[in-house]
Amino acid sequence: MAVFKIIITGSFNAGKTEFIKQISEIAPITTDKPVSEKEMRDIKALTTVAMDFGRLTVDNDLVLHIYATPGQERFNFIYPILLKNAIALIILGDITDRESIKEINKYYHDFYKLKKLPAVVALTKIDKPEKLSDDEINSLLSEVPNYVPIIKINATDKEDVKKTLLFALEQLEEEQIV
Amino acid sequence: MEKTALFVMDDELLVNILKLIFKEIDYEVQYVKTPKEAIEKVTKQVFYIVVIGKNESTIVKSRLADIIYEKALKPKPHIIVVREPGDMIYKADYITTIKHPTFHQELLKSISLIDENKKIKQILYGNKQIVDNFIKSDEFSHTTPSEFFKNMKGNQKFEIRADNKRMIGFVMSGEIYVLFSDFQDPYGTFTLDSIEAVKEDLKIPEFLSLQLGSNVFKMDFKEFIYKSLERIYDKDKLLSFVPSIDKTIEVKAPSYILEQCGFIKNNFDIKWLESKSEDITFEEILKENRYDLNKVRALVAMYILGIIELSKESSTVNTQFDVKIKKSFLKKIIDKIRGL
Ligand SMILES: Nc1nc2c(ncn2[C@@H]2O[C@H](COP(=O)(O)OP(=O)(O)O)[C@@H](O)[C@H]2O)c(=O)[nH]1
Ligand SMILES: [Mg+2]
Repeated sequence: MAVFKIIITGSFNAGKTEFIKQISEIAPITTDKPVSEKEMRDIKALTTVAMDFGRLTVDNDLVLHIYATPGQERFNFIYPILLKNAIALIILGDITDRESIKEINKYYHDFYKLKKLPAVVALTKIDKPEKLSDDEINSLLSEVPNYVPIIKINATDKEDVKKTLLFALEQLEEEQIV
Repeated sequence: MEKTALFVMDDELLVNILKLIFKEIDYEVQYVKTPKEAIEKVTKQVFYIVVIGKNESTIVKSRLADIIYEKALKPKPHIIVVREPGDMIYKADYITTIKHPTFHQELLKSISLIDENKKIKQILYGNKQIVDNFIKSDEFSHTTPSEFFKNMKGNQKFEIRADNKRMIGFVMSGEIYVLFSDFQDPYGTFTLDSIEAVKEDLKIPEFLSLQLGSNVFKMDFKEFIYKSLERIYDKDKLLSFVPSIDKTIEVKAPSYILEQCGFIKNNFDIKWLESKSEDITFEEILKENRYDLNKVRALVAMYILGIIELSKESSTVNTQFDVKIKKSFLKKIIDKIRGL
């Protein structure tokens, strides 16, 4: 069975847990769908450092794992394993929180150094009133290259979450045509 | 006290070589040919090391190691098993395995192939008359040995020419027969960069009418390919037989075929390999095994034999990202998310 991973990162309170909740099946440990031993080993190893874990069965031999991880350096040792078979990176930032947005630069570069993944920056809590202005956002995100899409979402909205994931994955598709 | 080693094996030449080595490190050496004698010895005398090789019995080496260890007087010996292709040796802290050396046999064989003019003998395995009339066609084409053997079908005759040398033979029911060769040995063709070669169908009646002497070279075709690759020590040369190593592999042959091939069984965990089918690239397997030369050979042989195939689809979706996923998988994932 093939397992691919999507990595969700971002500062504390940015909406990672919410994001995963929107698309994950119930926790694999409680589901009656059998999880292979190998898959279980991976999950166990990685959930010790990842805050949240989600799983999406695509078909009988294709599964998507979604890991939310705080970008903390003390977990660096696990990143090579976490990034194995990873196909996309979603970086979340709280649009109401200047620090949360600023940290996106660092997360982007930390991951990019380890593995070049199609990435999307998604600013959460778009439904809240106290948002930063576009100009502020742009100047805060100066170290994220232009080709990385920056979108604004409500992480509690399933359609927004789907859109974010598709923005990341479709980058892989686009390249094929070229 | 001097340490004592006991050899249980019947390859006398190898025993003599081992004796020299052990004497060099101050061991006293004893030597028996059968398990029965070995057990008699170890129940009467303490040995430091027992070396088990090919011997005059049918008992598998693992089992023999077990029995000897159990029966041996204390302090128990360490056991070194000289492992031959196909041997399964389990792991234990009192067992070490080493590969059965073949250089002494190779040396003898090479010497036997020198003719009275001290040149390499022309080797005629079959009847000269059969050889001369065997291949009717003279439509030789320019190809590489790997291409040539990869496209070899069930019942076919062949002739290979290179450097003024020839090899003539055929493949029938999974076995290769060599009727004539003046290459140093029949395995030598893979070391050539290119060959002139021709193939023809071999009909069963013709096969049955062949008067094959007992000296005709005959071997399992799969083993033949692997043995031929064993003549190559350059990893890059071996990999040049595979069109691209960044493709995903698919295991095509059923488990029992994999189990039957010594070179597959000895180099890979077959269950693992099957579980990785369509999920790992040729290159990734080699990386995981640190390009171990025997594993490179085994995997290349599997490719040449069609036991594994490479996906047509490139697994690297694009070069901008470090992502490896088949287009079909990516499409399924995207469709799934769209449909949530
Ligand atoms: N209104 C609103 N609340 C959000 C949004 N994203 C996250 N939250 C809330 O913000 C808090 C932190 O979110 P959480 O997913 O736990 O963040 P994490 O620390 O990154 O896992 C929770 O109370 C969420 O319900 C959003 O887009 N809109
Ligand atoms: Mg959380």
